Amino acid sequence: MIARGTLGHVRYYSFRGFINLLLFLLALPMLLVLVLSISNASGIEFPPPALSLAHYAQILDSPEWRASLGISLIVASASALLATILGTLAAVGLARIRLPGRSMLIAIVIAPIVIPTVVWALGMRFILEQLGLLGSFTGLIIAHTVLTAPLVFIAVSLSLRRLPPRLLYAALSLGADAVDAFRTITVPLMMPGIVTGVMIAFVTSFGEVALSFVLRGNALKTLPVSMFDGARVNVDASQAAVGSVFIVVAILVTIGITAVRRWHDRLWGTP
Amino acid sequence: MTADTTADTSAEVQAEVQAEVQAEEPAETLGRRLSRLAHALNRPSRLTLMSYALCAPLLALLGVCFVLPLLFMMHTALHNPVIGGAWPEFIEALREDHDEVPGEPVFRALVQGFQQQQEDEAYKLTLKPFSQQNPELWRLLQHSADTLPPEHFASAKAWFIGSDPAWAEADTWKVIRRVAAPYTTHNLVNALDVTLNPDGNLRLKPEERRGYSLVIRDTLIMGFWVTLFALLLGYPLAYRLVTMRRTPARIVLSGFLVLLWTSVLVKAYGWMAVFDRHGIINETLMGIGFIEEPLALRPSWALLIVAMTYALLPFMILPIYQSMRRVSLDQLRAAVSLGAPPARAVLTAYLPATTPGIAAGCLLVFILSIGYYTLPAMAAGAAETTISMLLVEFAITIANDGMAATMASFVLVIAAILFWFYMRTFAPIRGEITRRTSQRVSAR
Repeated sequence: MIARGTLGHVRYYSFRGFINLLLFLLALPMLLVLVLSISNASGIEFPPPALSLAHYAQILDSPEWRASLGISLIVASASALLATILGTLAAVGLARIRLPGRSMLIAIVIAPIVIPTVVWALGMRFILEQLGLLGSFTGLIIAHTVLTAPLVFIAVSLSLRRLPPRLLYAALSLGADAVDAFRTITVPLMMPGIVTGVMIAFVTSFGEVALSFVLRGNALKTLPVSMFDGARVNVDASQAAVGSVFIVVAILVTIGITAVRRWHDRLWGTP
Repeated sequence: MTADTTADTSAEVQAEVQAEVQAEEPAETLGRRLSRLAHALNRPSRLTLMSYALCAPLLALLGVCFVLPLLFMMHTALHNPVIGGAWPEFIEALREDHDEVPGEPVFRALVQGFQQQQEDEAYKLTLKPFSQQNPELWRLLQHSADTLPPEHFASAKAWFIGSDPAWAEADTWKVIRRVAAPYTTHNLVNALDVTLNPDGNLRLKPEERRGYSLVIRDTLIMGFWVTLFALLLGYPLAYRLVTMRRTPARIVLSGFLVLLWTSVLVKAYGWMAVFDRHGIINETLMGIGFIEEPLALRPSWALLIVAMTYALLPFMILPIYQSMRRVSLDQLRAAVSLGAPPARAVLTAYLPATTPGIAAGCLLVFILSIGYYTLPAMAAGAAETTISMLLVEFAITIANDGMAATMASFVLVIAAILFWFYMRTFAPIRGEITRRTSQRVSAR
């Protein structure tokens, strides 16, 4: 790549070795969680004495874990749906570059993912307490929507930025009106952004701890909160089984997003 | 992006012009046409209004569920709830009276409050803020409340001053006014471990009585280390990612995305498994005979910083990667072919071009690290308390909303300031970087 002598070679390969070590270290904790989840030891033990699926069976048998999983799925699906509608609309609205106050509006829209969650979760707790919605599905879903809508907004905005304006001009010059051009050009081209947004919103809400923990009230424990409560008292291997559920969901989402993008690129060509 | 914007507006102008031309009578003068056109350009176009309408639902949601809670939280931090709610007549009378030592109505209201207090034990608790702020004043109040004669008397003021001359001193009333004010800096002062003298001067608490300020300091230091490590690891990783072939780069990038989207719980859990008593470090060291007994590696700041760096690394890598992709590697090749040693080539030809990504990554990682709750709560022990752990503790366990809100406001203010810088340095959606760069290039 870059001209180098023997010393350069040494440097180059030690750099690559360093990077590979780093990549291994990045994968290590995830791999450990997966390994622990199929170990038959009840605590943390390396190497695992034997392999078994007992931890998964235990989770599926326990009504509390099942209830938590159900709550998580409902909250994540509902908030992802809401976030997608709101985030997409806002992304289309803010796609106009010459909009007065645009950067201010963008700052407000993406603030929820930059401002630490626990800080506004506390404010949200005060407000929900006043409204009597603390520990209700409504409150939790709304809060998760606030957290995930900016992610959808970013995903859709990025796909709109990839959209070549000349396509729109071509449609307009061929006699389509603005609505037609939007329907036939913009919407199909931003579809992968929307699908990506839904999936990111879902996976973020599904794994969110701090927000659900602060807002949970007395009942309503999502899956991450249950795991969090357990791990704070005592770290054991059954939590690793729950943890690997999160890893699998994250992997599925990544594969899904890659597949959508591939399929879309094949259909429309890479812009 | 410049091309985009000009195209955007020029298309609009063209559309307007065409509409005008079609509507016009051929006999119309050029001057009238121009003035009508100028008028059309000045009014907000339908597209602009529609854009606002499309953002409105999300902005409404964020206004009610994001901005309002934050404002309410800051209000709670400064709000003085107890005394104001419990002694309404007294507070009102005090607010209407502006003398150094107030007149009869204030003293009468105080008598009323005391009489109520004698009937109701729970009412006594309302004097607590006084005891926290100023024990002497609290004793004075208690004493007067206990010796208050049951019958009515002609002048309440005279009785109070007769029972204790301190009631006639301006200083006493200064303190009372401060405690009874609708807003108080009490929480703020408490969180920073300073005490407020009656004359209004701030004094740092003695070393052994400080607590919260140490937590704030520790959290900021931890945020600094996490940001530094994330940068030192993230920059080479991002660089390697840009120089990789297409397919492996895609795989590694997907790996980062999995890392980004896996719940932070799992990351914390994974690192706890590494640092555990029977974790992989201890087992390996014992396996090669380096140590006899497992080391107590958890909880520790080291674990916290490692796990946090790990969890926040994608937020560092992705912006740097984005900005590196905009910089051609040819710059680096040119520097090397002109004789620069590799390190110098990177420092002078590559690093400056990627600073927006670095700035964005560092700001984001720092903001997120000081406000992270889940990871510290899982991985840290009592000795490694962070601000966010403290604030959740105040809010949920101790139910001291004022202190919780104060701690949260600290994080919020720091985060908001850094977020402002973040929006200025790096905004991929706004496309500002390309615009500025192109302006700079064309200026040359």
